[in-house]
Amino acid sequence: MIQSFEHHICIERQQVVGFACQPICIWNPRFMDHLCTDSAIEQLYKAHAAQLRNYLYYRCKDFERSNDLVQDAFSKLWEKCKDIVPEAAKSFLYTVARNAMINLSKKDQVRMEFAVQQEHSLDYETPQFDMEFAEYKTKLESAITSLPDGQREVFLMNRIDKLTYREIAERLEISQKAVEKRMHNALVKLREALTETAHLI
Amino acid sequence: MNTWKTDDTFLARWLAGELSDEERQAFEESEEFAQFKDISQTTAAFQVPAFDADAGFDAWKKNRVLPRENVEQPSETKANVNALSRIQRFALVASIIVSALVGAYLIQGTTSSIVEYQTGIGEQTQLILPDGSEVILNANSKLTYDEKMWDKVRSLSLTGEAFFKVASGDQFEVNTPIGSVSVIGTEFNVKYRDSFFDASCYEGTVAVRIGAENNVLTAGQEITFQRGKKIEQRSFQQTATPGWSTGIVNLTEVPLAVVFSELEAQFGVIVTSAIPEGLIYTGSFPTNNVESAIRLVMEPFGFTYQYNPQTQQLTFNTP
Repeated sequence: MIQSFEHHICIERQQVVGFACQPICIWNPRFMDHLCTDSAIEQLYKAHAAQLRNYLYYRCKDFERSNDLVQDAFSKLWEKCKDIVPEAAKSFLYTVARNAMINLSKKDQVRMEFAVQQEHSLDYETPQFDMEFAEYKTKLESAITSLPDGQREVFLMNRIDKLTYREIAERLEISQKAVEKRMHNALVKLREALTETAHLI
Repeated sequence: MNTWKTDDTFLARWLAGELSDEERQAFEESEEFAQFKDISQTTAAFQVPAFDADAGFDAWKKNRVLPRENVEQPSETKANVNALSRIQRFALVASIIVSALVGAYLIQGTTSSIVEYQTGIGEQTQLILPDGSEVILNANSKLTYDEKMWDKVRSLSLTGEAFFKVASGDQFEVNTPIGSVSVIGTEFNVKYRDSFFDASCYEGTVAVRIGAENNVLTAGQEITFQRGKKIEQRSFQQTATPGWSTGIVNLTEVPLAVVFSELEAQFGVIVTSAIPEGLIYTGSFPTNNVESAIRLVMEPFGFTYQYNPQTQQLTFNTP
């Protein structure tokens, strides 16, 4: 009998009883209403809003929209605070935000621009093909902007937010293997794009 | 050996520092390495404007809409308030039912000695039988007994679900359309819903009779029958009283139809879709939150569903 109240919600499909695969789902009432307080929601906001906004920016390439979508996602969470256990809040936020983005109209392709941390640029080694750094950066930014959404979001979450593949996988609800593949393919594509522009010159 | 051309996670592993020494050396000697290194180093220095979480939160708080029933107080205090009001509601419901029944009994007392306790959707009541035995009656359940005969035979009829804490004495019997449970001084739970029967023994020994078959349960054991056929006799993890009496319905390996009759008993949910045969559910859900309860039943099966709180109708599609 499954009656462990240490778990909040768990869904397992592995246990086989007779011929039927049976699902298991546990509700822990001690955590009920936990998110419906100002302090709980504030804690969540401060912990996740910044990375969520970055993720949205990597995806929709528009800061203003990203900021709005963050607020919307937290409003949705607030509406459903009674039904969501704290552990599920993060993936709920990402899911809600992702779905909201799907409904947005595609904006014109604007090249994404990134600032460069000073200490790193000083260490910078002379790029291949002797490009000026600024020129190289512009090309790299264009190449990143043209990456498929899935590759771009994974690549930037790792490079800018320094998230591990596991952390990215959790947020996007995909496998770690899928994250690694996107990461690899993003690098292959970026190198190709930079090589092509170099040849044109 | 793997290279970035043959292995589609190679570059990801390289960035994370997970290549073997051999793989890394070979890669560093390849002609494309410098380009990958440039991309890696440049993007590692990339930044986006910082997000001001303090200002963002203040703005969000100012614009948010307070959902229904959201109360601005710390969770612990709130939980206590809820618990208290739950008990008060419970006591109120129980007292209304009891006084109604006493009234009904006084009026009919001369003609009939049948005592009937019935709970509505989402109601539970606690009662004490003439011999001092205690009963907690779950939602949408009915318990009847003949008071005149009670001194001779302690025999009750039940549909729905109830937990019994029996005072010592002679045989005590609970009958359902499928089977009966008889005991001498013990604690047990009996459930009969949608031609599904379950008896769980919490203390002492109980005898369960289905047709001609007799089964003996000791503390910590339960037995389930459906349409008169024994499904299983097994042990269960015991709590002081069944989960449903403390706000959580626990179901172990029950047919989906029984889960729905439980949702109906607790919340009045009406299922309008055809219920697929052969699906077995194990899980638990709260008795005070219909949306959560439905979600906890639907999601494990991967059903897409719609619930209308006004009509209380639930429709779902199997994947």
